[in-house]
Amino acid sequence: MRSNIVLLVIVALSLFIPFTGNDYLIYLSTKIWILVLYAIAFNIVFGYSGLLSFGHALFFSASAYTLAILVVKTGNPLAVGFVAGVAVAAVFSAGVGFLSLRHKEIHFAMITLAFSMMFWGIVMKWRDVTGGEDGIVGIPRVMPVIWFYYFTFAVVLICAYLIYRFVKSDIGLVLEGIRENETRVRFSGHSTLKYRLYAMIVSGTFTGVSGGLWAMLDRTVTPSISHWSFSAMPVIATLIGGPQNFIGPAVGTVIYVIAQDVITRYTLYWQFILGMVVVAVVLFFRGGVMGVVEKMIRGR
Amino acid sequence: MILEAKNVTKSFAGFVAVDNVSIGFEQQSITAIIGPNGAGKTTFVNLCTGMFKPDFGKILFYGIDITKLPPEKRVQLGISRTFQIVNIFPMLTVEQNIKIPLLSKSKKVDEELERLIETFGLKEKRDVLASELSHGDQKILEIAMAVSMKPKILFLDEPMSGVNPAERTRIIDLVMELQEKEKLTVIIIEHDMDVVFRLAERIVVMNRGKIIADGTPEEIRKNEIVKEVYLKGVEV
Repeated sequence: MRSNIVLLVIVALSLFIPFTGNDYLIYLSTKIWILVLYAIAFNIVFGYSGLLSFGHALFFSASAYTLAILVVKTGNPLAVGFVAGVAVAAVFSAGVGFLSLRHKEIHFAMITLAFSMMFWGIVMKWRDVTGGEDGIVGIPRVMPVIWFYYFTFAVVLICAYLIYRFVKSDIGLVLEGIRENETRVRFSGHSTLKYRLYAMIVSGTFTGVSGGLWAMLDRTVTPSISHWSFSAMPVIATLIGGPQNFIGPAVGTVIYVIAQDVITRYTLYWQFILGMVVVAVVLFFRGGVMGVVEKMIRGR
Repeated sequence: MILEAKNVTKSFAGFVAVDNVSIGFEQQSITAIIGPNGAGKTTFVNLCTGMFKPDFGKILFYGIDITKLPPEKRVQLGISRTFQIVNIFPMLTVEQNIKIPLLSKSKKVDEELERLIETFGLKEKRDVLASELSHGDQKILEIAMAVSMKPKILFLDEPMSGVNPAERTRIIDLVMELQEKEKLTVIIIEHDMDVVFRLAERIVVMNRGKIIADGTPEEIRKNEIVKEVYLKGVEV
Protein backbone atom coordinates (compact mmCIF):
# COMPACT_ATOMS: atom_id res chain seq x y z
CA MET A 1 0.00 0.00 0.00
CA ARG A 2 2.71 2.41 1.04
CA SER A 3 4.65 1.79 -2.16
CA ASN A 4 1.47 2.47 -4.15
CA ILE A 5 1.14 5.87 -2.49
CA VAL A 6 4.78 6.68 -3.22
CA LEU A 7 4.19 5.65 -6.82
CA LEU A 8 1.12 7.85 -7.11
CA VAL A 9 2.99 10.82 -5.67
CA ILE A 10 5.84 10.37 -8.16
CA VAL A 11 3.44 10.09 -11.08
CA ALA A 12 1.51 13.13 -9.85
CA LEU A 13 4.69 15.16 -9.42
CA SER A 14 5.80 14.32 -12.93
CA LEU A 15 2.66 16.09 -14.14
CA PHE A 16 4.32 19.36 -13.09
CA ILE A 17 7.53 18.84 -15.04
CA PRO A 18 6.35 20.97 -18.00
CA PHE A 19 5.81 23.90 -15.61
CA THR A 20 9.56 24.12 -15.06
CA GLY A 21 9.79 25.56 -18.56
CA ASN A 22 13.05 23.69 -19.00
CA ASP A 23 12.86 22.28 -22.53
CA TYR A 24 15.61 19.76 -22.02
CA LEU A 25 14.01 18.43 -18.86
CA ILE A 26 10.67 18.12 -20.63
CA TYR A 27 12.31 16.31 -23.54
CA LEU A 28 14.20 13.95 -21.23
CA SER A 29 11.07 13.21 -19.20
CA THR A 30 9.05 12.45 -22.33
CA LYS A 31 11.80 10.12 -23.44
CA ILE A 32 11.79 8.39 -20.05
CA TRP A 33 8.02 7.81 -20.27
CA ILE A 34 8.42 6.27 -23.72
CA LEU A 35 11.23 4.00 -22.57
CA VAL A 36 9.22 3.07 -19.48
CA LEU A 37 6.50 1.73 -21.77
CA TYR A 38 9.16 -0.06 -23.85
CA ALA A 39 10.57 -1.79 -20.75
CA ILE A 40 7.17 -2.72 -19.27
CA ALA A 41 6.10 -4.18 -22.62
CA PHE A 42 9.39 -6.06 -22.90
CA ASN A 43 8.94 -7.50 -19.42
CA ILE A 44 5.74 -9.34 -20.44
CA VAL A 45 8.06 -11.72 -22.28
CA PHE A 46 11.01 -11.55 -19.88
CA GLY A 47 9.70 -11.31 -16.33
CA TYR A 48 6.25 -12.80 -16.81
CA SER A 49 6.99 -15.53 -19.37
CA GLY A 50 10.60 -16.27 -18.45
CA LEU A 51 11.99 -15.73 -21.95
CA LEU A 52 14.91 -13.42 -22.65
CA SER A 53 14.22 -11.59 -25.90
CA PHE A 54 17.25 -9.91 -27.32
CA GLY A 55 15.40 -8.52 -30.30
CA HIS A 56 12.79 -6.10 -29.06
CA ALA A 57 14.51 -3.26 -30.92
CA LEU A 58 13.06 -4.92 -34.02
CA PHE A 59 9.46 -4.21 -32.94
CA PHE A 60 10.36 -0.76 -31.62
CA SER A 61 12.14 0.33 -34.78
CA ALA A 62 9.77 -1.41 -37.20
CA SER A 63 7.00 0.75 -35.77
CA ALA A 64 9.11 3.94 -35.78
CA TYR A 65 10.33 3.37 -39.34
CA THR A 66 6.85 2.54 -40.61
CA LEU A 67 5.60 5.82 -39.18
CA ALA A 68 8.52 7.78 -40.64
CA ILE A 69 8.23 6.22 -44.08
CA LEU A 70 4.45 6.65 -44.30
CA VAL A 71 4.52 10.22 -43.06
CA VAL A 72 7.70 11.62 -44.63
CA LYS A 73 7.95 9.63 -47.87
CA THR A 74 4.30 9.23 -48.78
CA GLY A 75 2.73 12.17 -46.95
CA ASN A 76 0.22 10.30 -44.79
CA PRO A 77 -1.14 11.89 -41.64
CA LEU A 78 0.76 11.11 -38.41
CA ALA A 79 -2.16 9.19 -36.93
CA VAL A 80 -2.14 6.82 -39.89
CA GLY A 81 1.60 6.31 -39.57
CA PHE A 82 1.32 5.68 -35.86
CA VAL A 83 -1.46 3.10 -36.15
CA ALA A 84 0.21 1.40 -39.10
CA GLY A 85 3.49 1.26 -37.18
CA VAL A 86 1.86 -0.45 -34.22
CA ALA A 87 0.16 -2.91 -36.59
CA VAL A 88 3.49 -3.73 -38.25
CA ALA A 89 5.07 -4.33 -34.83
CA ALA A 90 2.21 -6.68 -33.96
CA VAL A 91 2.64 -8.65 -37.19
CA PHE A 92 6.42 -8.82 -36.76
CA SER A 93 6.11 -10.04 -33.18
CA ALA A 94 3.68 -12.75 -34.28
CA GLY A 95 6.09 -13.82 -37.04
CA VAL A 96 9.23 -13.75 -34.93
CA GLY A 97 7.35 -15.42 -32.07
CA PHE A 98 6.07 -18.19 -34.29
CA LEU A 99 9.57 -18.92 -35.59
CA SER A 100 11.49 -18.59 -32.33
CA LEU A 101 9.22 -19.73 -29.49
CA ARG A 102 9.89 -23.41 -30.03
CA HIS A 103 13.30 -22.64 -28.57
CA LYS A 104 14.15 -21.59 -25.07
CA GLU A 105 16.78 -19.82 -23.04
CA ILE A 106 19.94 -18.92 -24.93
CA HIS A 107 18.57 -20.26 -28.22
CA PHE A 108 15.53 -18.03 -28.01
CA ALA A 109 17.71 -15.05 -27.13
CA MET A 110 20.02 -15.71 -30.09
CA ILE A 111 17.21 -16.21 -32.60
CA THR A 112 15.46 -13.01 -31.59
CA LEU A 113 18.81 -11.22 -31.73
CA ALA A 114 19.43 -12.60 -35.22
CA PHE A 115 16.04 -11.39 -36.48
CA SER A 116 16.56 -7.92 -35.10
CA MET A 117 20.07 -7.67 -36.57
CA MET A 118 18.67 -8.78 -39.93
CA PHE A 119 16.26 -5.86 -39.72
CA TRP A 120 19.12 -3.57 -38.73
CA GLY A 121 21.01 -4.77 -41.82
CA ILE A 122 18.04 -3.96 -44.04
CA VAL A 123 17.66 -0.53 -42.45
CA MET A 124 21.35 0.22 -43.06
CA LYS A 125 21.44 -0.97 -46.68
CA TRP A 126 18.07 -0.11 -48.18
CA ARG A 127 18.91 3.56 -48.52
CA ASP A 128 16.07 4.49 -50.89
CA VAL A 129 13.46 3.61 -48.33
CA THR A 130 15.12 3.88 -44.94
CA GLY A 131 17.76 6.50 -45.60
CA GLY A 132 20.51 4.12 -44.55
CA GLU A 133 22.83 5.44 -41.89
CA ASP A 134 21.28 8.92 -42.06
CA GLY A 135 17.83 7.63 -41.24
CA ILE A 136 14.70 9.61 -42.04
CA VAL A 137 14.38 13.20 -40.94
CA GLY A 138 11.51 15.65 -41.09
CA ILE A 139 8.64 14.00 -39.26
CA PRO A 140 6.37 17.00 -38.62
CA ARG A 141 5.81 18.28 -35.12
CA VAL A 142 2.46 17.07 -33.82
CA MET A 143 1.92 19.57 -31.06
CA PRO A 144 3.91 21.83 -28.75
CA VAL A 145 6.53 20.02 -26.65
CA ILE A 146 4.54 20.53 -23.48
CA TRP A 147 1.38 19.02 -24.95
CA PHE A 148 3.33 16.15 -26.40
CA TYR A 149 4.63 15.46 -22.91
CA TYR A 150 1.06 15.13 -21.60
CA PHE A 151 0.00 13.12 -24.63
CA THR A 152 2.85 10.66 -24.04
CA PHE A 153 2.11 10.58 -20.33
CA ALA A 154 -1.52 9.62 -21.02
CA VAL A 155 -0.72 7.02 -23.68
CA VAL A 156 1.92 5.37 -21.52
CA LEU A 157 -0.33 5.23 -18.46
CA ILE A 158 -3.22 3.76 -20.44
CA CYS A 159 -0.93 1.19 -22.06
CA ALA A 160 0.66 0.32 -18.71
CA TYR A 161 -2.81 -0.21 -17.26
CA LEU A 162 -3.78 -2.50 -20.15
CA ILE A 163 -0.54 -4.48 -19.76
CA TYR A 164 -1.22 -4.76 -16.04
CA ARG A 165 -4.67 -6.14 -16.76
CA PHE A 166 -3.11 -8.61 -19.20
CA VAL A 167 -0.48 -9.98 -16.81
CA LYS A 168 -3.08 -10.28 -14.03
CA SER A 169 -5.55 -12.07 -16.31
CA ASP A 170 -6.03 -15.83 -16.65
CA ILE A 171 -3.60 -15.81 -19.58
CA GLY A 172 -1.10 -14.02 -17.36
CA LEU A 173 -1.55 -16.68 -14.68
CA VAL A 174 -0.80 -19.48 -17.14
CA LEU A 175 2.27 -17.53 -18.31
CA GLU A 176 3.49 -17.29 -14.73
CA GLY A 177 2.88 -21.02 -14.46
CA ILE A 178 5.02 -21.61 -17.55
CA ARG A 179 7.81 -19.56 -16.03
CA GLU A 180 7.57 -21.52 -12.77
CA ASN A 181 7.14 -25.03 -14.10
CA GLU A 182 6.60 -25.62 -17.79
CA THR A 183 6.14 -29.39 -17.43
CA ARG A 184 3.23 -28.90 -15.05
CA VAL A 185 1.57 -26.46 -17.42
CA ARG A 186 1.76 -28.97 -20.26
CA PHE A 187 0.40 -31.68 -17.98
CA SER A 188 -2.36 -29.23 -17.11
CA GLY A 189 -3.51 -29.42 -20.69
CA HIS A 190 -2.19 -26.11 -22.02
CA SER A 191 -0.16 -25.58 -25.17
CA THR A 192 2.72 -23.52 -23.82
CA LEU A 193 3.58 -22.36 -27.32
CA LYS A 194 0.18 -20.74 -27.74
CA TYR A 195 0.46 -18.80 -24.49
CA ARG A 196 3.98 -17.66 -25.22
CA LEU A 197 2.82 -16.46 -28.60
CA TYR A 198 0.09 -14.39 -26.92
CA ALA A 199 2.73 -12.87 -24.65
CA MET A 200 5.03 -12.12 -27.56
CA ILE A 201 2.31 -10.41 -29.61
CA VAL A 202 1.02 -8.28 -26.73
CA SER A 203 4.59 -7.37 -25.84
CA GLY A 204 5.56 -6.57 -29.44
CA THR A 205 2.43 -4.49 -30.01
CA PHE A 206 2.99 -2.25 -26.99
CA THR A 207 6.67 -2.01 -27.90
CA GLY A 208 5.39 -0.72 -31.23
CA VAL A 209 3.40 1.99 -29.43
CA SER A 210 6.58 3.15 -27.71
CA GLY A 211 8.45 3.12 -31.02
CA GLY A 212 5.81 5.33 -32.63
CA LEU A 213 5.95 7.81 -29.76
CA TRP A 214 9.73 7.87 -30.05
CA ALA A 215 9.58 8.78 -33.75
CA MET A 216 7.14 11.59 -32.97
CA LEU A 217 9.30 12.91 -30.14
CA ASP A 218 12.61 12.88 -32.02
CA ARG A 219 10.97 13.64 -35.40
CA THR A 220 13.83 11.57 -36.81
CA VAL A 221 14.50 7.86 -37.01
CA THR A 222 18.02 6.47 -37.27
CA PRO A 223 19.38 2.91 -37.38
CA SER A 224 20.56 3.20 -33.78
CA ILE A 225 17.04 2.20 -32.62
CA SER A 226 17.38 -1.02 -34.66
CA HIS A 227 20.75 -1.89 -33.25
CA TRP A 228 21.12 -4.77 -30.78
CA SER A 229 22.25 -2.37 -28.07
CA PHE A 230 18.78 -0.86 -28.18
CA SER A 231 17.41 -4.37 -27.49
CA ALA A 232 19.76 -4.61 -24.54
CA MET A 233 18.42 -1.44 -22.98
CA PRO A 234 15.14 -2.85 -21.59
CA VAL A 235 17.03 -5.98 -20.51
CA ILE A 236 19.42 -3.92 -18.41
CA ALA A 237 16.74 -1.55 -17.14
CA THR A 238 14.55 -4.48 -16.10
CA LEU A 239 17.42 -6.23 -14.32
CA ILE A 240 18.16 -3.04 -12.40
CA GLY A 241 14.52 -2.42 -11.48
CA GLY A 242 13.44 -6.01 -10.91
CA PRO A 243 11.72 -8.30 -13.41
CA GLN A 244 9.35 -9.89 -10.86
CA ASN A 245 7.64 -6.64 -10.06
CA PHE A 246 5.25 -4.89 -12.42
CA ILE A 247 6.81 -1.45 -12.02
CA GLY A 248 10.35 -2.84 -11.70
CA PRO A 249 11.18 -2.18 -15.37
CA ALA A 250 9.81 1.36 -15.04
CA VAL A 251 11.97 2.12 -12.01
CA GLY A 252 14.98 0.58 -13.77
CA THR A 253 14.37 2.69 -16.87
CA VAL A 254 14.27 5.91 -14.88
CA ILE A 255 17.54 4.98 -13.18
CA TYR A 256 19.08 3.91 -16.49
CA VAL A 257 18.23 7.07 -18.43
CA ILE A 258 19.12 9.48 -15.63
CA ALA A 259 22.37 7.63 -14.91
CA GLN A 260 23.27 7.70 -18.57
CA ASP A 261 22.48 11.40 -18.75
CA VAL A 262 24.47 12.26 -15.64
CA ILE A 263 27.44 9.97 -16.25
CA THR A 264 27.99 11.19 -19.82
CA ARG A 265 28.63 14.66 -18.43
CA TYR A 266 31.74 13.33 -16.72
CA THR A 267 32.93 10.49 -18.89
CA LEU A 268 32.26 9.04 -22.31
CA TYR A 269 32.52 5.56 -20.86
CA TRP A 270 29.06 5.59 -19.32
CA GLN A 271 28.42 2.04 -20.51
CA PHE A 272 31.36 0.85 -18.43
CA ILE A 273 29.93 2.33 -15.25
CA LEU A 274 26.43 1.11 -16.02
CA GLY A 275 27.87 -2.34 -16.71
CA MET A 276 29.37 -2.40 -13.25
CA VAL A 277 26.01 -1.41 -11.75
CA VAL A 278 24.28 -4.24 -13.60
CA VAL A 279 26.86 -6.80 -12.49
CA ALA A 280 26.45 -5.64 -8.89
CA VAL A 281 22.64 -5.83 -9.08
CA VAL A 282 22.62 -9.29 -10.69
CA LEU A 283 25.16 -10.66 -8.23
CA PHE A 284 23.87 -9.14 -5.00
CA PHE A 285 20.25 -8.01 -5.52
CA ARG A 286 18.56 -10.61 -7.69
CA GLY A 287 15.16 -8.95 -7.35
CA GLY A 288 16.52 -5.58 -8.48
CA VAL A 289 15.64 -2.29 -6.83
CA MET A 290 11.98 -3.25 -6.42
CA GLY A 291 13.00 -6.54 -4.88
CA VAL A 292 14.88 -4.64 -2.20
CA VAL A 293 11.96 -2.25 -1.67
CA GLU A 294 9.52 -5.17 -1.32
CA LYS A 295 11.76 -6.82 1.23
CA MET A 296 11.96 -3.61 3.23
CA ILE A 297 8.18 -3.27 3.26
CA ARG A 298 7.65 -6.90 4.27
CA GLY A 299 10.38 -6.80 6.89
CA ARG A 300 8.56 -4.07 8.74
CA MET B 1 -10.38 -51.20 -22.46
CA ILE B 2 -9.65 -47.58 -21.65
CA LEU B 3 -5.90 -47.64 -22.16
CA GLU B 4 -3.70 -50.15 -23.91
CA ALA B 5 0.03 -50.41 -24.40
CA LYS B 6 1.15 -52.60 -27.27
CA ASN B 7 4.72 -53.85 -27.32
CA VAL B 8 6.14 -50.59 -25.99
CA THR B 9 9.88 -50.33 -25.59
CA LYS B 10 11.92 -47.41 -24.35
CA SER B 11 15.64 -47.30 -23.78
CA PHE B 12 17.99 -44.60 -22.55
CA ALA B 13 21.55 -44.77 -23.86
CA GLY B 14 21.50 -48.53 -24.19
CA PHE B 15 19.62 -49.19 -20.94
CA VAL B 16 16.25 -50.75 -21.70
CA ALA B 17 13.88 -49.16 -19.19
CA VAL B 18 10.67 -50.61 -20.60
CA ASP B 19 11.07 -53.80 -22.60
CA ASN B 20 8.33 -54.85 -25.00
CA VAL B 21 5.46 -54.30 -22.57
CA SER B 22 1.88 -55.06 -23.57
CA ILE B 23 -0.95 -54.41 -21.14
CA GLY B 24 -4.49 -53.05 -21.01
CA PHE B 25 -6.53 -51.35 -18.30
CA GLU B 26 -10.25 -51.74 -17.72
CA GLN B 27 -12.43 -48.71 -17.17
CA GLN B 28 -13.13 -47.65 -13.60
CA SER B 29 -10.59 -49.95 -12.00
CA ILE B 30 -7.74 -49.37 -9.59
CA THR B 31 -4.48 -50.97 -10.64
CA ALA B 32 -1.23 -50.80 -8.72
CA ILE B 33 2.12 -51.14 -10.44
CA ILE B 34 4.82 -52.40 -8.11
CA GLY B 35 8.40 -53.52 -8.51
CA PRO B 36 11.91 -52.72 -7.34
CA ASN B 37 13.57 -49.40 -8.10
CA GLY B 38 14.61 -49.15 -11.72
CA ALA B 39 11.99 -51.70 -12.80
CA GLY B 40 10.59 -49.26 -15.38
CA LYS B 41 7.37 -48.28 -13.59
CA THR B 42 7.79 -44.54 -13.90
CA THR B 43 9.09 -44.82 -17.45
CA PHE B 44 5.99 -46.82 -18.32
CA VAL B 45 3.77 -44.08 -16.87
CA ASN B 46 5.83 -41.48 -18.73
CA LEU B 47 5.13 -43.33 -21.98
CA CYS B 48 1.39 -43.49 -21.26
CA THR B 49 1.14 -39.81 -20.35
CA GLY B 50 3.34 -38.40 -23.09
CA MET B 51 6.43 -37.37 -21.16
CA PHE B 52 8.42 -39.58 -23.56
CA LYS B 53 7.58 -41.29 -26.79
CA PRO B 54 8.33 -45.01 -27.00
CA ASP B 55 11.10 -46.26 -29.31
CA PHE B 56 8.75 -49.02 -30.48
CA GLY B 57 5.15 -49.94 -29.88
CA LYS B 58 1.87 -48.11 -29.52
CA ILE B 59 -0.29 -46.53 -26.85
CA LEU B 60 -4.02 -46.69 -27.46
CA PHE B 61 -6.68 -44.70 -25.62
CA TYR B 62 -10.20 -46.06 -26.22
CA GLY B 63 -8.65 -47.76 -29.23
CA ILE B 64 -7.28 -44.52 -30.69
CA ASP B 65 -3.53 -44.32 -31.31
CA ILE B 66 -2.09 -41.59 -29.09
CA THR B 67 1.55 -42.67 -29.30
CA LYS B 68 2.68 -39.43 -30.92
CA LEU B 69 0.47 -36.96 -29.04
CA PRO B 70 2.15 -34.42 -26.73
CA PRO B 71 1.15 -34.43 -23.04
CA GLU B 72 -1.22 -31.45 -23.32
CA LYS B 73 -3.27 -33.24 -26.00
CA ARG B 74 -3.45 -36.40 -23.89
CA VAL B 75 -4.61 -34.35 -20.93
CA GLN B 76 -7.34 -32.89 -23.10
CA LEU B 77 -8.44 -36.43 -23.97
CA GLY B 78 -8.62 -37.34 -20.28
CA ILE B 79 -5.23 -38.70 -19.21
CA SER B 80 -3.95 -36.99 -16.09
CA ARG B 81 -1.13 -37.63 -13.66
CA THR B 82 0.89 -36.71 -10.61
CA PHE B 83 4.65 -37.07 -10.33
CA GLN B 84 6.99 -38.94 -8.05
CA ILE B 85 8.65 -35.71 -6.99
CA VAL B 86 6.02 -33.09 -6.19
CA ASN B 87 5.36 -31.15 -9.37
CA ILE B 88 3.42 -27.99 -8.62
CA PHE B 89 3.89 -24.22 -8.96
CA PRO B 90 5.83 -23.46 -5.77
CA MET B 91 5.68 -19.67 -5.97
CA LEU B 92 1.96 -19.49 -6.75
CA THR B 93 -0.84 -19.77 -4.21
CA VAL B 94 -2.86 -22.95 -3.69
CA GLU B 95 -5.79 -21.35 -5.47
CA GLN B 96 -3.66 -20.31 -8.45
CA ASN B 97 -2.14 -23.80 -8.62
CA ILE B 98 -5.56 -25.36 -9.08
CA LYS B 99 -6.79 -22.61 -11.36
CA ILE B 100 -4.15 -23.22 -14.04
CA PRO B 101 -5.26 -26.78 -14.90
CA LEU B 102 -8.91 -25.76 -14.50
CA LEU B 103 -8.49 -23.08 -17.16
CA SER B 104 -7.60 -25.66 -19.78
CA LYS B 105 -10.78 -27.66 -19.44
CA SER B 106 -13.53 -26.14 -17.39
CA LYS B 107 -15.96 -23.42 -18.37
CA LYS B 108 -17.14 -22.82 -14.83
CA VAL B 109 -13.70 -22.19 -13.39
CA ASP B 110 -14.71 -20.36 -10.21
CA GLU B 111 -17.43 -22.83 -9.28
CA GLU B 112 -15.15 -25.81 -9.85
CA LEU B 113 -12.36 -24.12 -7.92
CA GLU B 114 -14.54 -23.77 -4.82
CA ARG B 115 -15.68 -27.38 -5.08
CA LEU B 116 -12.12 -28.73 -5.38
CA ILE B 117 -10.77 -26.59 -2.54
CA GLU B 118 -13.61 -27.90 -0.39
CA THR B 119 -13.17 -31.55 -1.40
CA PHE B 120 -9.46 -31.55 -0.80
CA GLY B 121 -9.63 -29.70 2.49
CA LEU B 122 -7.50 -26.79 1.33
CA LYS B 123 -9.89 -24.02 2.32
CA GLU B 124 -7.76 -22.45 5.04
CA LYS B 125 -4.68 -22.65 2.87
CA ARG B 126 -6.06 -21.28 -0.37
CA ASP B 127 -3.98 -18.09 -0.28
CA VAL B 128 -0.81 -19.78 0.96
CA LEU B 129 2.12 -20.22 -1.41
CA ALA B 130 2.36 -23.85 -2.49
CA SER B 131 5.99 -23.96 -1.39
CA GLU B 132 4.89 -23.19 2.17
CA LEU B 133 2.56 -26.20 2.43
CA SER B 134 3.57 -29.39 4.25
CA HIS B 135 4.86 -32.15 2.01
CA GLY B 136 1.64 -34.13 2.46
CA ASP B 137 -0.49 -31.12 1.54
CA GLN B 138 1.66 -30.56 -1.54
CA LYS B 139 0.97 -34.16 -2.60
CA ILE B 140 -2.74 -33.59 -2.01
CA LEU B 141 -2.64 -30.32 -3.94
CA GLU B 142 -1.04 -32.11 -6.86
CA ILE B 143 -3.80 -34.72 -6.86
CA ALA B 144 -6.37 -31.90 -6.77
CA MET B 145 -4.67 -30.33 -9.80
CA ALA B 146 -4.64 -33.66 -11.64
CA VAL B 147 -8.34 -34.38 -11.06
CA SER B 148 -9.45 -30.80 -11.72
CA MET B 149 -9.30 -31.56 -15.43
CA LYS B 150 -11.92 -34.28 -15.01
CA PRO B 151 -9.70 -37.06 -16.32
CA LYS B 152 -10.96 -40.48 -17.27
CA ILE B 153 -7.72 -42.09 -16.21
CA LEU B 154 -5.43 -40.90 -13.44
CA PHE B 155 -1.84 -41.97 -12.92
CA LEU B 156 -0.44 -41.51 -9.42
CA ASP B 157 3.31 -41.94 -9.21
CA GLU B 158 4.20 -42.73 -5.59
CA PRO B 159 1.60 -40.48 -3.98
CA MET B 160 2.67 -41.63 -0.51
CA SER B 161 6.41 -41.00 -0.70
CA GLY B 162 7.48 -38.77 2.14
CA VAL B 163 3.94 -38.52 3.51
CA ASN B 164 3.20 -39.19 7.21
CA PRO B 165 0.75 -41.97 8.24
CA ALA B 166 -2.17 -39.65 9.06
CA GLU B 167 -1.87 -37.94 5.69
CA ARG B 168 -1.53 -41.33 4.00
CA THR B 169 -4.93 -42.36 5.26
CA ARG B 170 -6.36 -39.08 4.01
CA ILE B 171 -4.89 -39.63 0.56
CA ILE B 172 -6.20 -43.23 0.40
CA ASP B 173 -9.69 -42.07 1.37
CA LEU B 174 -9.55 -39.27 -1.19
CA VAL B 175 -8.45 -41.57 -4.00
CA MET B 176 -11.16 -44.14 -3.21
CA GLU B 177 -13.82 -41.46 -2.95
CA LEU B 178 -12.77 -39.84 -6.21
CA GLN B 179 -12.56 -43.15 -8.03
CA GLU B 180 -16.12 -43.90 -7.09
CA LYS B 181 -17.63 -40.46 -7.58
CA GLU B 182 -15.85 -39.50 -10.79
CA LYS B 183 -15.85 -43.05 -12.21
CA LEU B 184 -12.11 -42.80 -12.54
CA THR B 185 -9.65 -45.37 -13.73
CA VAL B 186 -6.68 -45.16 -11.37
CA ILE B 187 -3.19 -46.50 -11.94
CA ILE B 188 -0.92 -46.10 -8.97
CA ILE B 189 2.78 -46.73 -8.53
CA GLU B 190 3.48 -47.35 -4.87
CA HIS B 191 6.08 -48.93 -2.64
CA ASP B 192 3.96 -49.08 0.49
CA MET B 193 2.45 -52.58 0.30
CA ASP B 194 -0.13 -51.72 2.89
CA VAL B 195 -1.48 -48.99 0.62
CA VAL B 196 -1.24 -51.20 -2.45
CA PHE B 197 -3.20 -54.06 -0.95
CA ARG B 198 -5.81 -51.73 0.51
CA LEU B 199 -6.43 -49.85 -2.72
CA ALA B 200 -5.80 -52.07 -5.69
CA GLU B 201 -8.14 -54.49 -7.37
CA ARG B 202 -5.35 -55.57 -9.63
CA ILE B 203 -1.59 -55.59 -9.16
CA VAL B 204 0.99 -55.51 -11.92
CA VAL B 205 4.56 -56.40 -10.99
CA MET B 206 7.44 -55.09 -13.06
CA ASN B 207 11.08 -56.05 -12.98
CA ARG B 208 13.88 -55.00 -15.34
CA GLY B 209 11.48 -53.37 -17.77
CA LYS B 210 9.15 -56.36 -18.07
CA ILE B 211 5.87 -57.36 -16.49
CA ILE B 212 6.57 -60.47 -14.45
CA ALA B 213 3.17 -60.88 -12.83
CA ASP B 214 -0.33 -59.49 -13.23
CA GLY B 215 -3.34 -60.44 -11.16
CA THR B 216 -5.60 -59.85 -8.20
CA PRO B 217 -3.98 -59.01 -4.83
CA GLU B 218 -4.69 -62.61 -3.76
CA GLU B 219 -2.89 -64.05 -6.77
CA ILE B 220 0.07 -61.72 -6.35
CA ARG B 221 0.39 -62.58 -2.68
CA LYS B 222 0.74 -66.24 -3.62
CA ASN B 223 2.96 -65.75 -6.67
CA GLU B 224 6.35 -67.38 -6.12
CA ILE B 225 8.32 -65.28 -8.62
CA VAL B 226 7.00 -62.09 -7.08
CA LYS B 227 7.98 -63.25 -3.63
CA GLU B 228 11.43 -63.99 -4.96
CA VAL B 229 11.98 -60.63 -6.69
CA TYR B 230 10.12 -58.15 -4.65
CA LEU B 231 8.14 -59.16 -1.66
CA LYS B 232 11.00 -60.98 -0.01
CA GLY B 233 10.98 -60.11 3.65
CA VAL B 234 7.94 -57.87 3.34
CA GLU B 235 4.95 -58.73 5.53
CA VAL B 236 1.85 -59.04 3.40
